[in-house]
Amino acid sequence: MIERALELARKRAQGAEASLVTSRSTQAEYEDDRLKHVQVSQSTRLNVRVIVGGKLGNAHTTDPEQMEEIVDRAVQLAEFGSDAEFDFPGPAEFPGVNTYDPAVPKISKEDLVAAGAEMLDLLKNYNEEIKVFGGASWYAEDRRLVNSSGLEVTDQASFHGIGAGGVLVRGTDVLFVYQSRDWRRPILPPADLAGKAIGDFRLAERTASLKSKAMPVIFTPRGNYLLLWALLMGVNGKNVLKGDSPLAGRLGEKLAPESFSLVDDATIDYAPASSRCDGEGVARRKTSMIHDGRLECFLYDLETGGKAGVATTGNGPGCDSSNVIIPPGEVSFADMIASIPEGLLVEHVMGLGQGNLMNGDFSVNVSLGYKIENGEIVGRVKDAMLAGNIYDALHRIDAVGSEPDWAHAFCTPPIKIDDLSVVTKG
Amino acid sequence: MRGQMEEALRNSGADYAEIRIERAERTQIDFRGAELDEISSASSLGGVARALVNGGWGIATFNDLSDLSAQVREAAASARLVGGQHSQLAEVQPVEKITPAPTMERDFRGVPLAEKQQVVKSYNDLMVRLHPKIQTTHSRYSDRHREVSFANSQGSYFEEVRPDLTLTLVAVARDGSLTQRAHESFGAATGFEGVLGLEAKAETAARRAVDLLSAPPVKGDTYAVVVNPKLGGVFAHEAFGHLSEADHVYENEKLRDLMVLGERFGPDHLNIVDDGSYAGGRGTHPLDDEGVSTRKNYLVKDGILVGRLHNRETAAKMGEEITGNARAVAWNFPPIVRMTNTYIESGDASFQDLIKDIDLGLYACDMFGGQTMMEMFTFSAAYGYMIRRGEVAELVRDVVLTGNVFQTLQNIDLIADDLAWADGGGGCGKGGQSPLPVGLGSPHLRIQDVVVGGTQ
Repeated sequence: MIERALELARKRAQGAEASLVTSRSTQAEYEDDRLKHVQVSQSTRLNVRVIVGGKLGNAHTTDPEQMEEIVDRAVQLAEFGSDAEFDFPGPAEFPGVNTYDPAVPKISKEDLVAAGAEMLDLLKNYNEEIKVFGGASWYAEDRRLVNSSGLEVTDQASFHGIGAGGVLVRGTDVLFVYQSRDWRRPILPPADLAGKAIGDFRLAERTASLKSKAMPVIFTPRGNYLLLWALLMGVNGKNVLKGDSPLAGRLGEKLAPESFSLVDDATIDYAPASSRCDGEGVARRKTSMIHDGRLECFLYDLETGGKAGVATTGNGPGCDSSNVIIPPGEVSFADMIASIPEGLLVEHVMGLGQGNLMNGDFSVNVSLGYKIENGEIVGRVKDAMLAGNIYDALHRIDAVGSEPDWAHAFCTPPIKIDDLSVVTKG
Repeated sequence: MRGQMEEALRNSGADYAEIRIERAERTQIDFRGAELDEISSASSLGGVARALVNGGWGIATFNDLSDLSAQVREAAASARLVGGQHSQLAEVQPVEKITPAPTMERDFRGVPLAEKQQVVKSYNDLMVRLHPKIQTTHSRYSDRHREVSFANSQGSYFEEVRPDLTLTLVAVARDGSLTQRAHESFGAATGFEGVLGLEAKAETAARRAVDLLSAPPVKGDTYAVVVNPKLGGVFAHEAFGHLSEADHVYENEKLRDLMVLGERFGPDHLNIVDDGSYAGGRGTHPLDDEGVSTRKNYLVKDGILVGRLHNRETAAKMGEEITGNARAVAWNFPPIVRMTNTYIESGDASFQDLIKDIDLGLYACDMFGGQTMMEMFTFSAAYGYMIRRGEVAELVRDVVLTGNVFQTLQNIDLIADDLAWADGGGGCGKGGQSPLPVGLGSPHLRIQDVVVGGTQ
C-alpha cells in the first residue's frame, strides 16, 4: 500500500516520502487505589510528504482507504508549504541499534495487572493513607518508510513502561510522588520501582523549613528536567533558525564550566528514544551539543538543516532531541550533599512553562524538594519556589555528579548549582 | 456500519458494552511572526469499544474496523481482569437518534486552503504591523469535523456531527528586557463564517500587548475585585466545575466531605449551571457519549450546592440523577465525566453598581493561565485595571489571584445582569483528553477580599 502511495505522489511531485506505522499496545491503569481499567489499542498511521515547486507538503490519516485523498491533500498543502531546500535521502548505512525485544509484546494483560497490583500492595503496606496510582504498559510498532530517492526502511520498536506513585494529603499539605521507568525491553521488577516511590515518601516524612535566599541547589536526575527543558528548546535548530533561541549565533561560546557536557544519542541499545534512523530515514548518531562547557552543535532535520545550510543531525522531523545524556563527572552524590551547609535538593517541580522558557526564565513550585543542612538531608521543604534563568544557572554549575540515572529519555547525574534564588512562605 | 456495530454488541458476554466510531477531518494553520510556520491536514477513522463486567471496565481502541466483534470481545476480556464487584449503571431509556449536522453557512471542509490561509494571514499581519514594539505573534486557525456514531448493548444508537472551529491570536510586545503577551480567541461549533470579520480581536490583542509594556505591575494586596465575564466563566469552570465532577468526588474522600449536597456554597443570588443542551454553546450536543441526553444541571442554586456532573456509572454509585456529562475528545478515548457549557447566571446589579463603592480595588480581566490543587487556586488574569474611587482607572499587569474557591464563592457579594459567553478557542483537559470544546460564561462579579499577588 505504501509503495502505491509513493507511486501516486511521485507522479505529482519532485520528491515524495510515504511512511506507515502500525502499532499495538496494552496497558493496566491504576487510580485511587484500584485497577481502573485495562486497555488494548491498535493504530495505523499513513503519512505522506511531498516536495512540489520546491515546497513541502505533509498530510496524514489513520484510514488507509483515504490514501489517494491524503496524497492529494499533501500536494495541495505544498502550495503553502515552506521552502524545501533538501532532497529526500537515498539508501544509507544505519548504525546497529537494538530497539525491539520480542518479549515485550508477549507480556500478557495478566502480567501488567499483576505488576500494578504488586506496586499498589507495597505502597499500601508502607502507608495505607497514600492514594496510589500508576500501572504498567507495553507498546510495539512496525514502521515502513519509502521515498523517491530509493530509500526503503523497515523497522520495529518496542516499549515497556511502569509507574508507581501516590498522593498523601495531610490537612492542606498535598505530597505527590511518582516514579516511572520506560525502556525498549522488559525492565526492572515492579517491586524496585515501588521501593523508589516508598523511598521518596520516607524521605518526605519529616519536613523542614527554609528561609528565602539564594543558596546552592542540587538537581537529582529527575530534577534536571528543569534545566534541560529550556536548554533543549535552545539547541533546537528550528528555534535557532528563527532567531527565537537565545543560543542563535553563539556556537563556540562557553555556556558552562568544563565539567558540563550535553550529548544527543539515539544509538544506545534499548534506550527510550533510540532508533536506527529518524522519522525522515536519516541515520541516527551521537551529537555533542555542549562539549566541556562550550556550545558545539544544534540539532537539525532535513528541512531546517537545508535552510540553515548545515547537514541534518538525524533529529527529524522537528529538530527534537532523542536520548539526552549529561556525561557523569567525578563528585559522588554523598559528597555533593556533604559539601552544603544550607541548600535545597530538587526532585520534582511544577508549573514549568508559565514563564518565558525560551529565554531560559523559570519560576516554578518545588513540588518535591528537600532541605540540606550541615551536609545532610533533613526534611521535605513545602511551598518553595525556585526562580532564575537557565543560562545564568549553567555558568554557576559547581559540580557534576558521578552517578547518572535515567528519567524517561534523559540520562543524567545529579548537578549542583550555586546561588539559585529560593523563595519560601514564611 | 450500524449493522456491524449492533451485531458485534450482540454476544459480548459483558454486563454492558458499547462501540463509538468517529470519522474526523482537521486542518490547522500556524503563523509565527510574519511567516507561515505550519499548515497541516489530517483525517482519521477509528473507534473505541468499552465493556463492563462485574463493575470493571475494559477498553479497546482501533483504526481497523474490519472485525468489531473481536474488539468487543477484547474489551470484555480486559474487563474481566478488572471487575470484582457488581456492575452499576444508571437506568436510561435507549435512544435512537440521528441528529442533523449543526448549521454551517459555509462548511469549512469545502473552503479552499488558500482562502483559510489568507484569512489567518490577514489577522496575523494586522498584529505584526500594529506597532514597532510587537516582537512576534502566533496565530492559529484550526477546524475539526467529527462524525460520531454510537451503539450500545442496551439498544441505543445515535449519530451526531460535531464541527469545531477555533482561531487564537497571540501578540508579544517587547521593550528592552520586558516582554508582555496578550491574546484573543474565537471558538464555536460553526462554519467558516465564524472566523470572518475578527479584525477587532487582532487589533485588541496587539494593542493590549503594547499597552501592557507601560502598565505598572499591580501592587500585591487584598482587594475587592471585579472580574469580567471571561475570567468569571473560567473561574466557574476551573476552580469550581472540576470539583463537581462526580468521578473525582466518588473516589476522593476529602472532596466528598467538601462537596456535600444541600450545604451553602455562596450567597443567595449565586447560581452555577452546566448545560450541554444550551443552543449554540461550544460544549453543546444533544446526547453525551453514553447516549444520555444532555440537560440543564444546576450545580449551585440560590447559593446551595444542589448537584454535580455524572456519567451513568457515578450516578448509579452515588444514587443521584444522571446529567449527561460523559464525553470523549476523540475516537481513541473512552468517555469520562466532563463539563459542557458552564456558567454563572446573571444577577440584577449593573456594572456601575459593582464598582461605584470600591475606593481602591481591581478590575481583573480574561485568563492567561493558572493551576488548582483541590480547593486552592492560582489564576493569572490576562490584564487588569485598578478601580479608584468608584471608577475604572489605569491598566496594570502581572495580576495573579489566589485563594480558596469556597471562600471566594462566599465572598461574591454582587452579580451583574450582563451574562456573556466567552467565545474563546481554548479547550478543557482532563485525563489526557485535550482539548475538549467547552462553553464558559458569567456576568461581571464582585468578590471581596481577594489576595492579589504582585510586587509588595
